[in-house]
Amino acid sequence: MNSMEIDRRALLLGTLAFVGGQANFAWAGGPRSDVAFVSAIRHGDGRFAVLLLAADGSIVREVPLSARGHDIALHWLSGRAVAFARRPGTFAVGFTIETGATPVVFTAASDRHFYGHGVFSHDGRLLYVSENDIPGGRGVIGIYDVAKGYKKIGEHPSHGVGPHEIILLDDGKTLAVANGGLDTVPDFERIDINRDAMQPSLTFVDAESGVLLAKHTLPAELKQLSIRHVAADAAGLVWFGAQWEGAQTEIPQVIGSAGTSRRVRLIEPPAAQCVDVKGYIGSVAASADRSIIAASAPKAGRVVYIDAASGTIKATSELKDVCGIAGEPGGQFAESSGFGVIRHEVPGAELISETQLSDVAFDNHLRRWG
Amino acid sequence: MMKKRLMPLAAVAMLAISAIAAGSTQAVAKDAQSHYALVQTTLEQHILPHFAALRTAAAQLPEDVASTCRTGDDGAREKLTTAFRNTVLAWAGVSFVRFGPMSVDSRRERLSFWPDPRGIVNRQLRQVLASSDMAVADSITKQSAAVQGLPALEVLIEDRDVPLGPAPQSVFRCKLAEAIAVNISHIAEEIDTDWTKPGGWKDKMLRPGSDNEIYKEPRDAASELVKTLLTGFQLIADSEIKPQVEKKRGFDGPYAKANLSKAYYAAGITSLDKLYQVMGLENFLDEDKDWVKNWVGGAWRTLRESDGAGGAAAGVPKQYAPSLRKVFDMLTGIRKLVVGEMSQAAGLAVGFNELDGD
Repeated sequence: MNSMEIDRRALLLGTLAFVGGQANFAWAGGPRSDVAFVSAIRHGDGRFAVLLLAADGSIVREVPLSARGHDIALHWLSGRAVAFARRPGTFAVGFTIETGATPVVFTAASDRHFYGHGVFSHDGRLLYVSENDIPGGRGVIGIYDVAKGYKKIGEHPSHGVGPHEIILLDDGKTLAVANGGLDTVPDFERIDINRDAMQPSLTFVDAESGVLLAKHTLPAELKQLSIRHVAADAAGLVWFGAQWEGAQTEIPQVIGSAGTSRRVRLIEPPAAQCVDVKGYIGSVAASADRSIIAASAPKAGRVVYIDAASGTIKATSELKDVCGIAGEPGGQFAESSGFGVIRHEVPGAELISETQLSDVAFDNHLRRWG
Repeated sequence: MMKKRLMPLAAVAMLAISAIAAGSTQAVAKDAQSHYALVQTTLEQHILPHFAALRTAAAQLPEDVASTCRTGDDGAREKLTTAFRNTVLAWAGVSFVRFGPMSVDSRRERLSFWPDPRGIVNRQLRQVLASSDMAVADSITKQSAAVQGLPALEVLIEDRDVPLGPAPQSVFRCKLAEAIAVNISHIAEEIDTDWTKPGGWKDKMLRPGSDNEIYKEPRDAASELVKTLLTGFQLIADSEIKPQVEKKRGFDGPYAKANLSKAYYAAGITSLDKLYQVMGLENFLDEDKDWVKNWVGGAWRTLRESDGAGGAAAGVPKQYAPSLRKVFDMLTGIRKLVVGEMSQAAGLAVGFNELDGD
């Protein structure tokens, strides 16, 4: 067990200081440099890095990583970013988008590993990171003090096993946590050691106190549906993309939504809209106005766009090994693939542009800056 | 060149319809024939024989457990030890073939709950033994996967303090061991049957088409096998070799109580070697890629000289034993060349995220 005491004063500052003015917070800062997108990548020679890209797909800057990265947490007002090692990695790299200051590397505690995701508090003072308590096999949310060089100051339970993506809702106080249900230990790399006994869940956790506000589990027949990635819509519902760990012949719907007081609903497309995503969603993102949720399905080479209000599939598009996805102004989405492609499109309408970068494989997540 | 085989007419017709231009029709059909041949060869020469071997080996377990429990004599015990060894090594040969019938009902975990860094098998088995609850043995398929399969049976077979036999203190253990043995045999039988029965997974892979829920074209089935090969490299490197190199938390090798870890490693690498060879991915490489074949050939020679545990393989002088680090590097090196060179040359490029996302 981690005996670290939580610094309550720091938590209060982190969670409450910006409450009240956070609607469309993500879009308030606006671009201040050429950087438009950030993503972890792998070069052709096997090196790993974070790429900072301009809107036209040209490379603005690169932050090297010692091993494979996963997602990047961004804080628009401070210009800070943190790239996380992917599960079950133990490093994270803090850097600045605008200045190119020397990156800060920090690591998980010796009995913790990261799951590849994290999120800043709205005021940017704290960073919440999804972690595993390795000896206990329970999910935790690590809390880091940004100003102190990402020093860990405490942790909350994630109230589940295998927390993956975590997001902070508009109230600045509630964390939504996708507990994938999968337990891993670094000694065995990425091997899931509890697939037969998975208990995935979507939890809502008070960012200050760690108190569980709501927990949504899945019925027994869906216990192997690993909830991994989340995005909030305009109504405050949290949409998730899951990955099916069960039989190939029994793949259920893998996209759904829930709220603190609304239980889980998987999308139920009519037969004509039945879209094969191979039981695997790699990333989810909301449009700029958060009326549309996009879910990428790299195994199917497909993006599914869902109208958040009705819960129906609005459109689909195809791109081999697509995984990274980010909403853009004007109802557009940007998508990235493991074959180095960045594409911009409007769901159900025209393809706007497509750029192919040589020698680059885009990793799981694409984040828009500005 | 890869030996070509005839595809089912339905698959050829489907491909002809789906191709747009005449030129692309020829290219797609040629690829499809190659992919179909790859699938057929791999199923016939690796996948199906290996699952049949597991079924055969596991089928011996119930009788040998019963015999040991009935007589307790050394001959019966030795026979059971041999049957257990054969089953574990047959399992090692298919442990990385995780798609299709293996993905059903947590069969993989129920057969072999390993790796088990949290010691769940021992903990749960102790609880079951302490309870002496016959209902547990009668409903073994409904119990935790940790007490259903080979690791649990290993604990019971290898327990020298309370050995399996006719003694009164072994009655419940024997009941449990017999139930586990029958369960292992049933699961192995189910997997093999699901592969080979009419309309089973073999047929799914060999009869791609629009009405096939899993494989729409030969490429899909061939890609599944490429992913399996890559999974094999990754699993053996990461879960079997690397933990031996970086001993951090008291690592227990697979089936260490039965002294089968080394044989398990060797059986896994041998099966992977066979899978690589029968898939023939090198045959898709252009002539200017001979360096790939040469490097991979050398890497396999190194792997064959290893016992998978830092020593030399049988018949190989000690001084030629490759280090575990070298074994790890060879496995990951071949994997990288399959991803970066061979799968692309074969028209079976597997995406970065598709293969190993999170």
